Amino acid sequence: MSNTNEKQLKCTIEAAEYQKAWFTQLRKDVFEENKPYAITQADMPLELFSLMGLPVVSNQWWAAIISAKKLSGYYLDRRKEMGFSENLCSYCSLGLVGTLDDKPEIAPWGGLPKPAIMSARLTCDCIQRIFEIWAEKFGTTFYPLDSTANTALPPKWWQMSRNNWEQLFQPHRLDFMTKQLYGLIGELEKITGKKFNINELKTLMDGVNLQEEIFEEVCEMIATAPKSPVRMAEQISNVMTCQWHRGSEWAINHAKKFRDEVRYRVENNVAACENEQIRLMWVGAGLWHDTGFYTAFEEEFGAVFVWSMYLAFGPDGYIRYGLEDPMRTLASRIVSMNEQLHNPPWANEWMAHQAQKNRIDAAIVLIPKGTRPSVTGSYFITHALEKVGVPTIEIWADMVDGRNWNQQEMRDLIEDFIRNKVKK
Amino acid sequence: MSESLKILEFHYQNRTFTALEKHKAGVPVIGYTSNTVPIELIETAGFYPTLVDANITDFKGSDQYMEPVFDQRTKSIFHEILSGKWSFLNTLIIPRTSEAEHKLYLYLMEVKRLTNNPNIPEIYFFDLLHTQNPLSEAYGFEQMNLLDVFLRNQQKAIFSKENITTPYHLPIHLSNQIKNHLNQLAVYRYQSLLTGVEAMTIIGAMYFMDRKDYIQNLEIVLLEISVRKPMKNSQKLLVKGNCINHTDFHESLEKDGNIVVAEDDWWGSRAGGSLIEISENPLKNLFDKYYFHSPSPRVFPMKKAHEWLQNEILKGVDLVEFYLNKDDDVLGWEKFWVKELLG
Repeated sequence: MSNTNEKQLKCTIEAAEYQKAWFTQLRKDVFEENKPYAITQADMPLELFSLMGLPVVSNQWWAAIISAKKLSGYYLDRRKEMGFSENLCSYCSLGLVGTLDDKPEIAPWGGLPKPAIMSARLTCDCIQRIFEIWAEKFGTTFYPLDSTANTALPPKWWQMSRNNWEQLFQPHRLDFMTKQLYGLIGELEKITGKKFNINELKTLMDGVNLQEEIFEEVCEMIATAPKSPVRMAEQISNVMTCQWHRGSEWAINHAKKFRDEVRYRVENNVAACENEQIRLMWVGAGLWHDTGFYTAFEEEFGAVFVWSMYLAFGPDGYIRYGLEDPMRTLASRIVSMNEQLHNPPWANEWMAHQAQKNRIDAAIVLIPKGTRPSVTGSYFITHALEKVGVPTIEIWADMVDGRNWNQQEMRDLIEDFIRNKVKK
Repeated sequence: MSESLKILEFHYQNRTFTALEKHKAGVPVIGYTSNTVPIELIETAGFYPTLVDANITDFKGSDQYMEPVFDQRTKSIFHEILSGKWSFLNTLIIPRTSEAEHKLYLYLMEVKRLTNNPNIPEIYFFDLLHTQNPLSEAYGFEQMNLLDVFLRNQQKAIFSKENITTPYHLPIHLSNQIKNHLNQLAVYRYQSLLTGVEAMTIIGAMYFMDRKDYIQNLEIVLLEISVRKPMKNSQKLLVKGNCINHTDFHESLEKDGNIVVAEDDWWGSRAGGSLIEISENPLKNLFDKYYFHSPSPRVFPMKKAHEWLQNEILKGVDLVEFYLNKDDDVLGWEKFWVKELLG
């Protein structure tokens, strides 16, 4: 039995080192060189920031870092002491609380410096409040993108999103989002002094498509190999580091390294877990405060987490063909991301499809009460998975708030579930 | 209690009564779930508009679809629609007043797709945005026009042989009459002539009555209130937070002699406010009212969202009380600003 904590892929270590070095450089640039950067939600058009030479710290990535450093409990307690109620969203507000707390000696890597701009899509009603308070504290600009609703909801969206996205996401919504993106560019031009070039966007969009096509090859290998060649946590590390820098030369090259290592392992029958008996699906955001959970059931049951949304959503959620108007194409990538991942009918239909494609034996659905947008749609997802024969268990726990997470109890719960509900 | 006040109280408590009466009488009824649907357009098209509201605690059946973190009102509406209480509606219009309503729309559509539940009426999603900028304004006006077209088409389908079209200005005029009266009621509240519980009942009845009947009773109630002696009270309170479709919170606040004089809520003081302009372009006039002046948790920026509160606290409010649902994850953030506003 291999050590479940070790990184099996060299590229996983490289990805982590790259991201840490990137952030160190960012802090240096901001503090020493007075260079601008941005804080945004993860579902923003990062491509535009990248083109304009403005580095982005994703709010969700930063929350995951805080959680992995076991600081979420501290910040959520501090939030309560500041007079905010317990029910407020944890995933989206950890970074804000870190800023309000203003203790660089406690914050990961010294904390976030003042950004030149903050930006978010207004999906959940709490986002505008979190970002407005945050921007006020920093003394910076908050530029929101409003979120329209899809009213045509063909269930199998992934069959349309690459080529038929104009129809899928509705022309009037794309018109609106495209105009908002041009407005955002105006802000970015003011900050950076750089002139936006639509041809550069097209090139970048081509790069993103290439990167996601490479990820699709990895998806296919994981789905079809006798045993999964790569653990889920390593999938996430590699994929998300590329996604934060998507379409860049580094991201494409790293995606290739990731693919090649996975391919080598498949061709040489190297499994992430030699004893793989049961293929598990993880539904929801990563359990950032206890990533050891993902390998806890390998030894006794041969139960291996092989799927999370992070890798699979790359190709299905990001690839867009038809770049005649790259800004409109980009609008189509972000205009319904929330619906695709969390809302019926799109999230449930896609998860069920992915479960079948990946020969999933059982699914664990994370329902984080403290992060409302990730709760909604969960029951529809559970029903859809059960309907295609995938036993499912729901865990009411938070992805970043580890205060009420009883490690042993949760492991016992899943072990009972595997023993009693999962057949192999 | 006067007869008119009793009538308003009856309708506040029996929220489907008038809608069912209308339905039985052959008047097609269109339901809507919150304050940003222009009911004047519904009336213009010949339908009776009724607010779809519910406040229950047993969600057996619907709780297999809707997670418990939703607020009680949304869960209650979802449950009652699935169970058939609102199946008499010709159409249900759900606006994007809040993200919970967007989810309500998606959940209802999905249950309909998965189960063919015949209790779910036709649903129209009214995608009026609330960020205050020229792009959202243009998008919203387009949505307003589309809603009007939809209602006209519904009208043609239902009233094929009759001409029941009402000119736009009549429902707008009615709305303005009501707003004038509610603004007078707001003045009386600061004069301590009525309790917050009474005010919530009087205002809330509007959503569940024929509006002409409502005005008649409201006018009588206002006359009665105007000659009351002011109540002695210790503090004048303003309520802010989640919308309140009941009087329990006001009762709890007023039991020790305090008086609630205003709510930053369309169930309370925000039902009145500025009048709708009447011009050659009534759709634009309606849009301006609903887009620029409707309370919604999605109004951005916060400065705009808090304009009403900023003006209101200057009228002599002693204390702002927050009403937050036990699972609230939105309005709780606003304590930050309200503290600043109040110094």
